[in-house]
Amino acid sequence: MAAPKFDEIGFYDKSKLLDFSHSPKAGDWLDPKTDFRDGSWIYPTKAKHLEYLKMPNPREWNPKDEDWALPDNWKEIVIEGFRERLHKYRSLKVFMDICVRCGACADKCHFFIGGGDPKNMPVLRAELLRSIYRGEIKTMTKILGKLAGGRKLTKETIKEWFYYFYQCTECRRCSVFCPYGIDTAEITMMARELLHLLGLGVNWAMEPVAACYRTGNHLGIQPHGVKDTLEFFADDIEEATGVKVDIPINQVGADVLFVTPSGDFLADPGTYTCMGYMTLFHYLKEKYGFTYTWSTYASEGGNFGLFTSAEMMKRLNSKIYAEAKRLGVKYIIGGECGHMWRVLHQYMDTMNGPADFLEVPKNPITGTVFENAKSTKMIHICEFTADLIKHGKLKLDPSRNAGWNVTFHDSCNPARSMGFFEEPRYIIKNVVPEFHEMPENTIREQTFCCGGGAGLGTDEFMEMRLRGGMPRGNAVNYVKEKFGVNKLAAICAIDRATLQTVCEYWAPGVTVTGVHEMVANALVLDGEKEREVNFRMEPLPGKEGSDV
Amino acid sequence: MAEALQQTKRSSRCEDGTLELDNDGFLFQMEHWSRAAAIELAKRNDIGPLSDEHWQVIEFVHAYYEQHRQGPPIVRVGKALGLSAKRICELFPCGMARGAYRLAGLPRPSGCV
Repeated sequence: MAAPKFDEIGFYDKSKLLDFSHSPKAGDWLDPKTDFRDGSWIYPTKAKHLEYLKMPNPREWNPKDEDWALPDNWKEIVIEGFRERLHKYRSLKVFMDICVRCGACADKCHFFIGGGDPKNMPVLRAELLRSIYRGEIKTMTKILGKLAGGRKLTKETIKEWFYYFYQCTECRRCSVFCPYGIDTAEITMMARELLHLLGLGVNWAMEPVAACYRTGNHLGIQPHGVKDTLEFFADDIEEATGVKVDIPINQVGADVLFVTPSGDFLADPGTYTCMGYMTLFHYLKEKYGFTYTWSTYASEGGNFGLFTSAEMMKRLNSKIYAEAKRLGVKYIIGGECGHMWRVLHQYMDTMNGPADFLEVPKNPITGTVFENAKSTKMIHICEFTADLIKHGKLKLDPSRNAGWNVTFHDSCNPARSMGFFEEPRYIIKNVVPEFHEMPENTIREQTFCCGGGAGLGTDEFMEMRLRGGMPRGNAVNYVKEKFGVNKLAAICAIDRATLQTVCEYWAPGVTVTGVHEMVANALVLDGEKEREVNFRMEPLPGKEGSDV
Repeated sequence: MAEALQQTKRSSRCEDGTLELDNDGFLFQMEHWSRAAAIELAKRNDIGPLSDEHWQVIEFVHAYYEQHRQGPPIVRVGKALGLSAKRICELFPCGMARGAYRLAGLPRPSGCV
């Protein structure tokens, strides 16, 4: 099969995709040459989004053009921006100086494993930046020049940065293996910040950023749209369960504010996970009087600012605390999102805190105090639900999920940024009869990325997504063949969107689900009708013959 | 810079020069949408010939966006028109966004989708 047209879900010929070598080709890596091969780069940001965000150099441009329409003083801007960040972020300075190029990270990147491009080895990707640090900024190496691995900043280097720093999903698997703990995602973040100073970014990340800034969520859904969507989900829940759930929106005085990625409002299978949250919260209100609220202002858990700049991340994140304060809730619960949890867990308190107007999260139903969220005042829905199950507060019927043979994909950020491993597994084991782990070097802190995080989950990037998804896809295929696994559970909206493609290509027959979809399928509600279908309107086990 | 802008626009134009499309092959501006535009977009994306069912979906999606400024989820479309998700996938084999949204003149959704 030929390569697909741009922006089509089309797959590449597997034998051609796998026809590559991990041995570097001859040539000097310091020589910046970038081949903008279709399927391996992402469309640039549309001018209107940069204008809206008041970011530099808005224009329509094309990476395949020779001239990228950079500002006249582009070099000065980058060097000055680099110096400023070295001064501001001690971590960047350390990461620029400390690497001994031992190579421990070299074969840990999913893009390198599935593609073989040496500049996708984390060490070499970082060297693209370090070489400029040595050649243009640090005095001693500047004198030694190429001898010290330094090089001069040219427009070709900028093109190389754009290409390779948008081939990094900031998943941080490489960092787990670095003996110095160099956070390669932070290096990518800094490189992208420098690129943004010249107006160089990708539309798949910046359109959501602009939309989020304007309407509160990545998809640009306005308040009446959020309401309409949730009402529609409530109708579907009623159809499946016979129970009409409440839709509390912008409700002052609720116990908690609930924030989830807006992808769950639009795209399957995230929509079913969203119905899962609504069903669970309804159950808790009816049974225990616990109340929650959605917000149409803070209607996005994800934060594509993380893939843009620290400043943008802070701007987008500020809505969550502001809304929690306005609504007077006790604390905040966050949904099944990936990168959102790096922002919330590692940056939110410092950026927009202290949230001293909120309480340390305490589950009033079980009495559990979440000391781990003492500073952020925000807990993950999975730790909340796992706590409820542990204390026997949910009536569950796992047999409704019979036939779903599940494995769990640790999403990069909850896993590596929070150490969040056990809670989702504990939930899954309590709501489905059959669960199998993928091989141990592909899960928990060593989990493999879906290949589409950090703003790269778009279809024009399909070749690289399939390459990057290969390690994860192979692990899924392994449990599929060994244990008959047919469902991949993930607690991240990007995963739920991109892993469907990865599975279809590398592990056909396996489909994707969220954890709370399975929770709500198993949850026995007061006053429910005899359940015959799940939220996907598929017949439950034993009900196949029913007229549904 | 002006030269670069021109180049991008030229390269994103539809072959017969009647539609201005972005990199993703979606309409640059929704205001330029018409039934003729939908027919042309269908041809370019190997969809159709457009049947009454196609038009029902396209017109529902277009009207929904006009009202809500977002595209409807597939289940929403199916419920409103009495079509199964499977049937909608048959009508638009390249998916809801790449098929129905594009033909209805909507922008391409982006983010965690």
